[in-house]
Amino acid sequence: MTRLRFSTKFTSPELRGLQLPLEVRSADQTLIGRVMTSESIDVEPGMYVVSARMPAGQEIRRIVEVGDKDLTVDLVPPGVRAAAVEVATFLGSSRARVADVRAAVAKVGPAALRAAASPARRRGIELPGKRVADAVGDALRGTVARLRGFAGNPLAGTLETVKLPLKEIARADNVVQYHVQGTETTTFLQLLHANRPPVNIALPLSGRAGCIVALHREAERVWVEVHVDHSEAGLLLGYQQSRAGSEEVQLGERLLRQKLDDPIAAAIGAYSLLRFGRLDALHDWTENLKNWFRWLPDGAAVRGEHLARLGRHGEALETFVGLPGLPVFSDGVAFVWERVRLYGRLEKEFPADLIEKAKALQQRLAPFIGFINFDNVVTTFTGLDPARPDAEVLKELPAAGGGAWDVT
Amino acid sequence: MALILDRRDQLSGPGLHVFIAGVSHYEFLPDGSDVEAEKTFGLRQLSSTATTAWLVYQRLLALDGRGLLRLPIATVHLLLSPSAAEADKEPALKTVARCNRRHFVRDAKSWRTCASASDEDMTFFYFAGHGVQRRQKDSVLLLDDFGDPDAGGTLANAVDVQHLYAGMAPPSDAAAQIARRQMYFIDACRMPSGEFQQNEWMDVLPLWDVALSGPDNVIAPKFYATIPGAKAFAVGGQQTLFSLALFEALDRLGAVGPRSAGGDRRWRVTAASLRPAIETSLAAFAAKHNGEQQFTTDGALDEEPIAFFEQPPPVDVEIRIDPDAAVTLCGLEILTSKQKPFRTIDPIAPHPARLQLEPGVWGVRAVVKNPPQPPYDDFIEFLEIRLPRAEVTARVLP
Repeated sequence: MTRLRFSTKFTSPELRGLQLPLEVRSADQTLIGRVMTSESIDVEPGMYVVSARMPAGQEIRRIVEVGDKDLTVDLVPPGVRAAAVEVATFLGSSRARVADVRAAVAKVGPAALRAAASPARRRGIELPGKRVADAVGDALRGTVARLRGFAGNPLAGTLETVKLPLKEIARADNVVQYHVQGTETTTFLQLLHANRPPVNIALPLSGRAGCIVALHREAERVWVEVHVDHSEAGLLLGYQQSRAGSEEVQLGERLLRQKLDDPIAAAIGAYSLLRFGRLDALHDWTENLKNWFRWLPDGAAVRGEHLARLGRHGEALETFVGLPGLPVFSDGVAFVWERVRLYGRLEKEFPADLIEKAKALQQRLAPFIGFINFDNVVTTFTGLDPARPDAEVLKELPAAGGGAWDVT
Repeated sequence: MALILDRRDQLSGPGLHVFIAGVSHYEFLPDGSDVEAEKTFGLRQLSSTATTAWLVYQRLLALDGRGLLRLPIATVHLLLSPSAAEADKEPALKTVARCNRRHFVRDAKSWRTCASASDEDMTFFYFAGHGVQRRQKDSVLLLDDFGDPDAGGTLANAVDVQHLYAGMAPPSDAAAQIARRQMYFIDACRMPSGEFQQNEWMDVLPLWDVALSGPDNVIAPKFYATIPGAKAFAVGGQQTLFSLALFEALDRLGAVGPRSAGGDRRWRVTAASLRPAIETSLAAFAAKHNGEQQFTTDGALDEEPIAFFEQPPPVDVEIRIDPDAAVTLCGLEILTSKQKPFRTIDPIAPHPARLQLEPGVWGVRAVVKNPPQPPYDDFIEFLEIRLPRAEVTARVLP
């Protein structure tokens, strides 16, 4: 038998050393095994296909001829990418592929875009103290948008405007990546665009780790993706977003097996295990997550759903009604909403005071359910006031101030 | 009649319980009958959804007949409300009970009872017809008597998918069982009528009583033909785009190779492999018919097989010699991954050469005949031939 080892060739500090789930198949496509890039696998001499799929959809595939000598397989990410924006390129949604955006722009043609842009709006992105050059050329300038930060509990209406601790870490093509420092408060980034509904995006932050905000420029808009600072959790989050079942299972169990001190990473792992019904793998972990990180709504959401899946519905409901805010991940919102709705209709099964709290929670959640985009893994909803979601289109930007940044 | 197929007595192990419903003809929408709903929400009669449901049923029967389903079919519940044109084209559609509320409730309960025989059983649910949503992450299926003025609320004759799913959860009684692997295919629009959103708690009449569940490790992937707030499309009078994509995925595109560690060594389709296959296929069908449709999934897309293939599905391979001028000077050899000759193509006519190969690693060698023939030289490359098509260029000009 010959030992195969693996090495990835990402260049950015965030992805260098990233543990990717790999598939090793024989020449006739029989699955030989699934390993992580840090692991090895023993195979008989012959031809094999080693593959990995990135959350954004790119595939890394190598045909390897294995002889008698141990071998290290280099896995080179496809395409020529700016190292600086590898996170946005490979861990983001398929929409985030820089080359695709380029191609779309090339199709329209800079001349057409220039003709559409008002001369008064030909400025670059401004963030505190920085001016970002528009790499796609003058044709894309003219987009007007603003970023704001909020922290607190939108369910209770106790939100305050905050100045997000953003630090630019990379830029290339039409993508700028910022690091947001961690905090133990539920925090939202709001993107305001003229002629579009404001979008509020929960930031996956904890006291232990921050997150990365990738700002993408398109012909007529700016849009945002968030990535967690923990590389494997970020990878799993990406797989959840792209519904990559095989990779999600492989990584979810691995994430939870590690000794984790990042509650956001732990929550991401727990959501995957709940999705795949791996209740045995969760053990008491969800109880720890809820108790050790009481500020994090997802702790209560994950624990409550785990208890419900175990058939311990009374405890589940008690956990849900203690929800300290809107969960950062939309799976958590969905869990709480569906369970509380169901329990509210089975009044005879629970004590009256618990039912009352359940109905109160349902009433607080209800305004959000209609406006959350559940196709996004991170909780995302529209509304100028994050405590009162709606779908109203913003006719003009509100007054600046309070830590907002203009994107012009 | 609730069950149209019942083979439980013939099975010695777990089985698949199927519930398929398709509605094209809506009694209380325009052109349905003499009575029209108070509010029709712009909905019209459909022309292919009942046929689609019938075709799905036929496809499952065909797979079952060849022993290619993961579990053999144990029971089938089928409800169809075809249009007149559909019934003329396929009279069998008329022999099946209508998909109205009374029949749907009856059949859903019967289906659930059948699926409660064993935790090892599987279920398969497919609905094709009109669908709406009251909010995000909602899906409501409209039965053929939707809008009946005598039925009560607007959504009286409709089915809340989440409620349907909740009723299939494991019971709290530890001794009771239910299929732990359940598949749901919702081939319907998810149109967010403004009216539904204004009255977003517009209740759907409950299908059944939902009780508190027991320990729940059900794996239940759900495939929605379209994303929230969007329409699902069909080839008029024939079949929905989503079902066309599903069939393509089951026939070929969703195929993945076997696992080496024991068990069934056949190629298979899994929930995990279905998703990218349907995505690709749906985009192609939609583009072909000048439309756009995105589908979505919910729940676990795991790797347990849904169906198998007797043989690995073939890949359409096209091999081109570059430059064209060298075509008559070359022959082609196809080699196995162990470098053994598999097939020779000489002369290469027509060019490019077209053949079918099983998915996997193959060698392609272009051999210059009667060498030397400068500036041309032999070409050889081992490459991965993947579904559904592979295009290979053999460059004989160094």
